[in-house]
Amino acid sequence: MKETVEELIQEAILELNEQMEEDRKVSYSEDLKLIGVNAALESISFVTLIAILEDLISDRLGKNIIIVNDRAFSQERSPFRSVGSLAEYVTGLLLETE
Amino acid sequence: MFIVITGASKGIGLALVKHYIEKDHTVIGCSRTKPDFEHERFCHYPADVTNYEEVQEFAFAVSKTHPVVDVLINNAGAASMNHFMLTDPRSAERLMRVNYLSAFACARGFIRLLRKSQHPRIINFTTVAVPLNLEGELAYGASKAAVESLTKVLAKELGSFRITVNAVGPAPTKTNLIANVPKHKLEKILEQQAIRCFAEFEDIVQVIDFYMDPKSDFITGQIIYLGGICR
Ligand SMILES: NC(=O)c1ccc[n+]([C@@H]2O[C@H](COP(=O)([O-])OP(=O)(O)OC[C@H]3O[C@@H](n4cnc5c(N)ncnc54)[C@H](OP(=O)(O)O)[C@@H]3O)[C@@H](O)[C@H]2O)c1
Repeated sequence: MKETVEELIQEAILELNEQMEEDRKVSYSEDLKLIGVNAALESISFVTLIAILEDLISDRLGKNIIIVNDRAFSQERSPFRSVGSLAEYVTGLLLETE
Repeated sequence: MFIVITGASKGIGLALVKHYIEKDHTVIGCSRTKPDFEHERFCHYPADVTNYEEVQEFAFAVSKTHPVVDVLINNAGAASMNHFMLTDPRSAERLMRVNYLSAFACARGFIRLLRKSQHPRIINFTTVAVPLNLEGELAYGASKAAVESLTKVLAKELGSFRITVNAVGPAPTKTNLIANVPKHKLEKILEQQAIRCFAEFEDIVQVIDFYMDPKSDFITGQIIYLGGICR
């Protein structure tokens, strides 16, 4: 499942890049920082990335999940700190729905 | 266009369904009870908009057949009119849920589908009770004031998705919603309007048509009250 999620995140980043100015584009890596100080994305791009990802999960996996919820923010270490932690967190959410 | 309308079983919501079907659009409506109306371009989905899971499921079900939503009309709502001292806090909470949190949850649920539209719109319902600060309408007015904040802030937060967010504030309109409001109280409200009569469905439709118009891409964060009520 985790590989599938990683592939979907890669795809979401490609789609996000299509909407971004040349100098704002980001490239996929596990430790790409998504939010916080020195994040690679502006907050609106992060929101867009999450929307694209939820969409891809719904289209490809037929699953309806909300990635950003209270639980995500109540964790000691934010699941959104990097692409790697996002993949792990989303994989967990998907496994829960099985 | 593909239009989602909440609170489609009666009143203004059902009038909107019929209007947009007549205009050749496709409409999906939700409410707890089924409307007494059928059409090949209309589909009813049973959902309670105060239940977040049901709203999510509703949005998901819509996405299965319609990956793009052009307009979300957050019409579902309820009112209760009573002096503050005679209002159970739970009743105030219930109104907050059905008027404000439902619009919040539906906007969140449908954002993915709206994002893909060429001219995406969210249209909310407020009321003249907000600018008039009507006595006896604290719980209702406060929940609709929250809808107005939602409208203005979402307009900013969704601007980069080109989604416009606006609201219409009808003057009293003859539906079930006001059926139990004493006549003299309604007359008192009408007296404060520039044009002192009840709103008709067509008056509300007119404002919504304007917000929906593809030429209204640059109109967002606005609230239009009917009957000549000003802020
Ligand atoms: N009429 C007026 O004078 C007036 C004035 C200003 C603003 N407004 C606003 O206009 C909107 C429509 O009001 P209306 O006059 O048409 O009222 P209405 O005749 O009472 O209809 C309300 C609609 O909302 C639906 N609804 C209520 N609670 C719901 C829930 N929990 N989940 C799903 N649907 C729900 C109802 O369907 P079910 O019961 O089947 O669920 C119904 O279809 C409201 O937002 C209201 O605040 C009305």
